[in-house]
This record gives sequence, C-alpha cells and structure tokens, in this order.
Amino acid sequence: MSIQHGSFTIARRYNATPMRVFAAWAIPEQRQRWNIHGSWTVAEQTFDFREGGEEVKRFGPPGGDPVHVARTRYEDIVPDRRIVMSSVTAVREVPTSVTLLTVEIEIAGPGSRLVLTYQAALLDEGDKIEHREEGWRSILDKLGATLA
Amino acid sequence: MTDRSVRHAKFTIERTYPAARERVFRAFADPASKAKWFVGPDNWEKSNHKLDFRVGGKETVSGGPPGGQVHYYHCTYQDIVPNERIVTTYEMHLDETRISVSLATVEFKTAGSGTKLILTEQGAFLDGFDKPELREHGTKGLLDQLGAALDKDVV
Repeated sequence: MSIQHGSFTIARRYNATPMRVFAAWAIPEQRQRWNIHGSWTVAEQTFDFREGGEEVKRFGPPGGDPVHVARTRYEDIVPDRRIVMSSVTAVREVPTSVTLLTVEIEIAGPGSRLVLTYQAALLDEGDKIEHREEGWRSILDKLGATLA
Repeated sequence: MTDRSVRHAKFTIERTYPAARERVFRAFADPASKAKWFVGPDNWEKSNHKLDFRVGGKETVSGGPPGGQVHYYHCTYQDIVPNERIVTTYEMHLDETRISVSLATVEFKTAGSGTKLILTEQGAFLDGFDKPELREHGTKGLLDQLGAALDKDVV
C-alpha cells in the first residue's frame, strides 16, 4: 500500500472570452469535443455540471478496452471564473487516484488566461504524476483548438 | 466580477501514538470513538457528529463560538484500506460561504509497539476566507486530541 502526493499547475492563454472558455467546460456538447487526452477515447460519459453534481466517464487507450473510470464531483462553481472538482479514478475497479482539480479563468487582454491546478493522491503506484500532467497539457491544447 | 482567489497549499503532519494500528484506525472508523476527539474547542457550540464510514459515505459536523460564525465540515470517504489508509475529500463552509475544498489522506504505519500516523492535506483555499497555516494549526490540535483520547483510553 502506498500513496504518492503530487501537484502541478498549467497556464494557458486563449483567444476567447472567459464566458466562452467557461462554456466549453459547462456545456456537454462543447466539452465532449476536447475532454480526453491524446488519441484515447471516451466510451461513456454522463454530465451534471452544477455544484454537488456527479459525473462518470469511462475511457481507454486507442484500440483498448475502456477499463478506466473517472467519477467527478463539482465542489465549487463560480460562473465564468472558477471550477473546483474532485475525482476518483479506477482501472478495472481498482482505485488509482483521488484528485482535486481547480480551473481559474480570468480576462487577459482581448482573451482569457486559464490556470489549471491539479492536486493528487496517487494510490499504489497505479499511475505517475508526470503522466497526469502530460495528459492535461494535451487536453488543454485540444480545448485551445476548439476555441480558436 | 467579484474579487475571487484560490490559494493552493499542502501540509503534512506526523504523529506517533503508543497504541496499536488497529486501535488508532478504529478511532477514525467508529462513529462513537471519532466523536470523542474530532471536535472544536471546549467552549464551542457543537452539532451532532454524523459519520458513515465506507467508500462513498459522508461525514458532517459543525461548530463555532457561542453567537459567532458556524464552521461546517462536509466530508466524503473516497478510499479506505482498513488499518492502512483513509482518503477523503472535504469542504468547509463558514456560515453560507464555502471557504475551502481539500483532499486529505491519513496513513497508518506500525512503529515499534505503536503507530505512526501521517496526515497529508492538499487544499484549495477560496477567496481569502481561510489560510492553510490556520488549517494546519487546527488539524494539529485535532491530532493532539486524538493522542489524549488514546492515552485516556476513551477511544
């Protein structure tokens, strides 16, 4: 049994208003265009974007079975400004992490600046924080592409 | 747009108790035991402590100085390995205002005839209503109360 604690922060600038960036998280049709890293695929996703709302995402690597499950709860939402969520991920029902994710959005010139802060307890060496960071960089690049 | 801020922080507290790991773990898992030490200062007004200790289960308690603001603790148990570890996420409210969201882990390790407890909290402290230093201080106080309860054999 082991726990690895880790965190990282990623900042991005987008040529879109905070309202548009927030909507990309809040509106299901918009979020499903970008919210998976690399060439992984989502097999199933529920949406419940409100404080206390809970969502389940089942996903997997390209060509592989979708044995990864993330259960997310929205802890704090300030429209156009901030989203705080907690998530538990599991692979084949074995928990691999519990995380806290904060997304802050602010006006920056004609567009927005987004700061994502990821705080994690990784369980039993099921994953590495470096992989999670790489994954989120990929996801935020995709978000940028949908906003461009 | 209202002024908003988030301060992210992490702290770790270690304690060694002269009690077996099973007993220290039980002080977290058993509702009657936990209610004996997981409480605010003596002069605070307290609510009923509610604990549903299982993965997905919730814990709530509140308290505050007489006539003052009320602190609310809402916790969800995310991962439990008996006698080994507990992982929770919790939020704190001051009256109606959410002041923090945290991820907390407690690890239990055998240390000689006693138990080493390692508590790690990673938090998002919201809009300047609370500070990680105060949370760390308060959490140390709770773990001291746990130590006293173990010494007095009441948990």
